[in-house]
Amino acid sequence: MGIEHMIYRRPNEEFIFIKKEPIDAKCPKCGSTDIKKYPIIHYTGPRVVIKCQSCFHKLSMWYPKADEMWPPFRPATEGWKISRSG
Amino acid sequence: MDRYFISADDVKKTYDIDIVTAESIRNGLIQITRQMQVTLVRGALTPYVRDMMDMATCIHRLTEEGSELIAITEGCVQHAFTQGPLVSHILREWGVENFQEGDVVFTNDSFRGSLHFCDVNCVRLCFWEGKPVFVLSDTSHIADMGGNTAGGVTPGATVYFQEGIRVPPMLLYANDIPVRSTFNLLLENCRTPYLNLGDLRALYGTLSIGERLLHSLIKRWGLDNVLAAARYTLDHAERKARSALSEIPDGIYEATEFLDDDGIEDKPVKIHCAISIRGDNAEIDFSGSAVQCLGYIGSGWADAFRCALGIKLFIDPGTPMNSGFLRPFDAIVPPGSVVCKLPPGSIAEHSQLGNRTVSAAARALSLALPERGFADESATLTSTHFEGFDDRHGKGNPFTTGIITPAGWGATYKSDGVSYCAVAIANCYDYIVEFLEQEYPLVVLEREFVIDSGGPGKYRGGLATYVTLLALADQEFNLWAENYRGAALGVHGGGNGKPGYTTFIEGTDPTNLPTWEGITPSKYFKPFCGTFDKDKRPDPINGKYGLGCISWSDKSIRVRFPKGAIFRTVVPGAGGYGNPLERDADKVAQDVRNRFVSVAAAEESYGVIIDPCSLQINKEATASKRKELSEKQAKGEWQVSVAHHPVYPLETLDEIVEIKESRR
Repeated sequence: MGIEHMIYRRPNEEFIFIKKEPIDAKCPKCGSTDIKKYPIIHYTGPRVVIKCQSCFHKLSMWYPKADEMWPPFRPATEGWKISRSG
Repeated sequence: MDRYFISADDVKKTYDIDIVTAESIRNGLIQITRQMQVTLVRGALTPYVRDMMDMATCIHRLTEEGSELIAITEGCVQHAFTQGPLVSHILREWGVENFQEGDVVFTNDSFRGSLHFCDVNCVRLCFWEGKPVFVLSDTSHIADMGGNTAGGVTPGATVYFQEGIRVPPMLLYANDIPVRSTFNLLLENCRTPYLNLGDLRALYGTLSIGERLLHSLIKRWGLDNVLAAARYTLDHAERKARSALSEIPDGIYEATEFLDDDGIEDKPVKIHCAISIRGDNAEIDFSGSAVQCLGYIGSGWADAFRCALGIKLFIDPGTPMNSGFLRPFDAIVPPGSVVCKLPPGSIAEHSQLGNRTVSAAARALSLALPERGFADESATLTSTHFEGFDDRHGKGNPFTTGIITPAGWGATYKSDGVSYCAVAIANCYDYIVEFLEQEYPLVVLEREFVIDSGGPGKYRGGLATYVTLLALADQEFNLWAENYRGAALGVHGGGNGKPGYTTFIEGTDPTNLPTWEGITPSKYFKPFCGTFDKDKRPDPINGKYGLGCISWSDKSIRVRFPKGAIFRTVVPGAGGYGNPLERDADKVAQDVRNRFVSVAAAEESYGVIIDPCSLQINKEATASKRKELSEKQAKGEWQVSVAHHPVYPLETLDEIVEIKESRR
């Protein structure tokens, strides 16, 4: 991990919207094809989900990868070997 | 039968313990957090914890994903919705395998899920027979973490570097031995090392006590039973949440709130909240909210679930909170918006934002369940922070302290709003006047309700409060407040609460202030911030925000407060519910007798005519007046007003009709 996730520029837009990326899949629960991928806050912390928009069934969920830029801040030392002091 | 219902036999089959044991342990876990709370409150030195209960103590269950909050004490409520994701996130970064017995990890980082820098968090694993089995955490608001101004909430800050020191997860104790370098870092970068040292030790001691008590519980019931009961506790809360959600029709419910401003730009800040329900699942989406402020208002991602308090108040207020309640929810906080600021944006003032996200979530849900709605609370934890040198006889030290001013809660579908209560996310006690006056060069001259401040309605909004302070030494204060420009909204025909304002009182004897139920003649004050008319009357109907005021913003920094000066903060009132013309006339009369509503406002806002001497209802005149107003209302010629003072004196209190008449 580098320092790319530490300091950002303030966005230029007046209002901010999340972008939900359409995914080519079918919900195993309700059969809908309205499936999207987007970042969320889960009760265990930040995650990325692929989720049916019709019934909110989660097809998959994972802790965000570095290039998914979520959560916005990630420490530069992520992935380093940990010492006794942290 | 509710499909979420679970019988005693089901409990046995699912968790392999009987329901009596499960419930005993469930309540035992909560009781441990209460014992931890007592330890923390008694051990802490800062008034925020010692007197105001701005803290929380928690037990979490370890999972493959991190952790889940099982139990939390009564205290500062917002932590019940933020500690779970925060601690889970910290454990992921630190690594559960890197904890040793007696280790305590400390962090205050808002960009890792905490609130603002003065809300510090400690995490300790509970080990049993050498293995980690539970997680203990506590959080408290400590007095100062450095930064531009005392108290860590820095009006005028634009980047977090100005707020204080940001501490990533660090070892505070290693094997129960204090880590000197961490303590030195924390104590040498704050204005109040004498308070912070005591508080850090109290935070550590609380976790130690918690571990000891958890060991007792495990010893009594057996580890397997306690782990099973923890799962039962979480599933129980989840079942209750899902059962309640399943009763709400599928759909999207949206609401918008506005912060007055961010202290830098003179414009309201929009918060948009959409709650989508699909069966017994829900998604909270803040898309469409304003870009992150230039100023210090905002949060990291903690507001994702802090707003869920507004939902829980609606759908399941009774079940003790834990992560199980949050399992049906996902939250979307767009990065770069006011609810998910990108570093290095300042997040010093998170509480005003949190109040609004709760209001927005509650109002969105009230669209789905109008018969169970409630109006906006005052939506401000109006806080004033003081800093200076205490040169009173026998003193001789720098000081910093802060006060909050509780206000009203919104009226509900079945009752008037509570008055004199800290906002929903806080649930804190008020400061203790005697302690404040003893420890700091301040005198609380007045602390009372404000008449005519609760939003009119069939059920009246909670009242505003005012506090008047006298400085006994030269000092400065920072003020942060909300709903001075806006107002707490009424619902379903109820009126808005009275906006707040702040003034300097002058030209009068501090031992005999000319005040009646929060009203002081305009002659005796200088407006600091709020909505005033050209005669300096606080008037939300005919006044203009900022007119004649020293400050254009209700977020002010380093305001001179010299010895002998008097300043007053009037916090906003809360919104009303329902048509005030339908309010029981006897209740209006009772409000008049209690001086919650004036005789003039009883007539103007409620159509109830009350004799100013006997304070009895004139029933004929009331019936006639209410008929007249109802007809006008139906034609659109009369509408419920925002709470205000129908009569406001310019020169003397004698101008207030009620007082004149009552002296006959």
